[in-house]
Amino acid sequence: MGAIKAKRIFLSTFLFWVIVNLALAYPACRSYQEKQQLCALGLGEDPGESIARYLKEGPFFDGEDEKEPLRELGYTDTYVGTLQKQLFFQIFWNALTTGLAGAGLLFLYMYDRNKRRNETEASVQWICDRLAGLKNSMHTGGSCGDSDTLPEDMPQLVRIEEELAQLSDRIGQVYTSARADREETKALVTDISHQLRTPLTALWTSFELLCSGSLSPDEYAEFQNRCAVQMVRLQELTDALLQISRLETGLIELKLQRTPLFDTILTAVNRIYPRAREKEIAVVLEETDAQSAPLMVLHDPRWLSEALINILENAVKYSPDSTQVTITVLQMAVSVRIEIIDQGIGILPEDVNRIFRRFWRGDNARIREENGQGIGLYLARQIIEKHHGTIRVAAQKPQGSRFVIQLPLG
Amino acid sequence: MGVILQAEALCKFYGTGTQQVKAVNCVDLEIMQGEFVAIVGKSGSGKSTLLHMLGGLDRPTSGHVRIRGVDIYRPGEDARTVFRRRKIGFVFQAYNLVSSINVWENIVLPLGLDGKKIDEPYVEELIDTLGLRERLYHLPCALSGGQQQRVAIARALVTRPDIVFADEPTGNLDSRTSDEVVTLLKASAQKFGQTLVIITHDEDIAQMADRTILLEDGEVVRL
Repeated sequence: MGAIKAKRIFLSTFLFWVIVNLALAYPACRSYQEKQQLCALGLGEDPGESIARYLKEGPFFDGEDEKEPLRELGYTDTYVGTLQKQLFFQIFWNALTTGLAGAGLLFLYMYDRNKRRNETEASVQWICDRLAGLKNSMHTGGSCGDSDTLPEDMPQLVRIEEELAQLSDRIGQVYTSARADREETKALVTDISHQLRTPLTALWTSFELLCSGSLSPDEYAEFQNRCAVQMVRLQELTDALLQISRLETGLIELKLQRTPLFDTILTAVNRIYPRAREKEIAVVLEETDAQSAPLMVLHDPRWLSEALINILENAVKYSPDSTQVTITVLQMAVSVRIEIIDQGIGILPEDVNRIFRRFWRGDNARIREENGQGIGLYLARQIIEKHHGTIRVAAQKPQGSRFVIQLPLG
Repeated sequence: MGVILQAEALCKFYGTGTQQVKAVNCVDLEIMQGEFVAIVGKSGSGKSTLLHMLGGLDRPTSGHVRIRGVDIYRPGEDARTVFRRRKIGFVFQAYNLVSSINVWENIVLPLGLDGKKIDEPYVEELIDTLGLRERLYHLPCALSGGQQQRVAIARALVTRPDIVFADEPTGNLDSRTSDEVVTLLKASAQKFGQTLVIITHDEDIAQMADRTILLEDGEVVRL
């Protein structure tokens, strides 16, 4: 585009030059003709009248009549010739300068075009190099780094450089996350095997004793019961693991819908309600600033209710009988804040950063006596982060814990 | 691989001899691309100094800061050039908005300073994400603290920076608004693939980060 523009500028400048020269030559030519005529009139038969007519009516160029007296007096080639020579010389001079100027401009134009072509070639070369670097970095997974070879005098390349750098970042990110996923899957398999081993060993031991046939009926019932307990545990564990693996290996994509958040919370509350009623724990749902319209939030109702169930289950599990679990929903400017407050065993400050880790369980005897795999809160955090939200926990005074979930409205 | 920001034996000392104060003492750290890192420490632990050095605002006494492998303080390199090229966004505790121009103008200000064209769809999305649509033509003084900080976040993100540094972004906000601001910072960074480094003394805020770096007396205690 730049080249076409330059071409236009050069052409129009040249044309302008030619026109100016022609315009200058025309009056010069006229004035020579007038001078010639005046001379002729002055030498004519009746100079007085002729000159008077000339002055009154302006120049009249009607042929050879006026030139006759000049010729008679022998001025054929001298003065008139000189005038003509001057005229031709001027025209010649004008033509020469025009030609020179045109050649100069043409040279400049060619030079510029050449320079442009070289620049373009350099740019293309540079872009190719950068793209090659990018391609290599895709193989090695690294970022292709900052280019130090950016040609100094080509500011238009900075834009491309920026875009390429961003693209390379993106590729690096995708690669890194793919790698992290793979590592994560490996770690997950290891974790799962460890988690499965304990109940499996217990089951195996009880089963062997049952098979030995040397047990009293009471013992027999006891080990049968133990088998059942371990099988329930295995069942729970596999269910939870299945969920984790689905969420983690990216097999499940969130299906984000703009639906009432209240319905999702209600689903979660209904799921834990039977357990809460057994322990006579009241579940209170408070919607602050009760609006006329239900609060619509962009989320996946199924997964988010899963996350809430996990938190609420813990709240009920680790709370003494006849206490209260409070859920508050507060609409903020561009997010929604859900708080789940219980009056349970609470959380130690040093555990605050560990509570959301996979398979982590507190050392507290009270925690150990409850059945659990250390998956619920981990899963809850994963789900909430997939919603671009955050979750944190704090100790609630005088006793209990408070989970704060923040979700962007959409 | 995937490391966007790296500090190596980074030191900042003030004064000499017995008067010498080691604000940041030999800090090594690596921040991965797309990560949300919280640098936590009590006031005076050197976290602001560290952040300023990481962000190219303050030259270290010794040591290196590498952004994607390029030392931003290497001799002859103007840190500001790197700044412009690699693009770094800053969010401060005191918002630092220009009080005489409206919200929209504040947001697109960095683009104007850089002579860049405005990427309308991106800016629009940013405005919606941060919930500033209805306040666009208000002056900063007509906004609450949380709103002002959201404008500051939009301004920091408008140039599509690779790294966003936030220096006590919730220092002047109540706890609920703080939670919201951090959630928004995190959501935006996640959405637009940016790395987020936040400085805070608030353990609650730090909990929301992917990783916490604890700083005590200018040294990294826990990575």
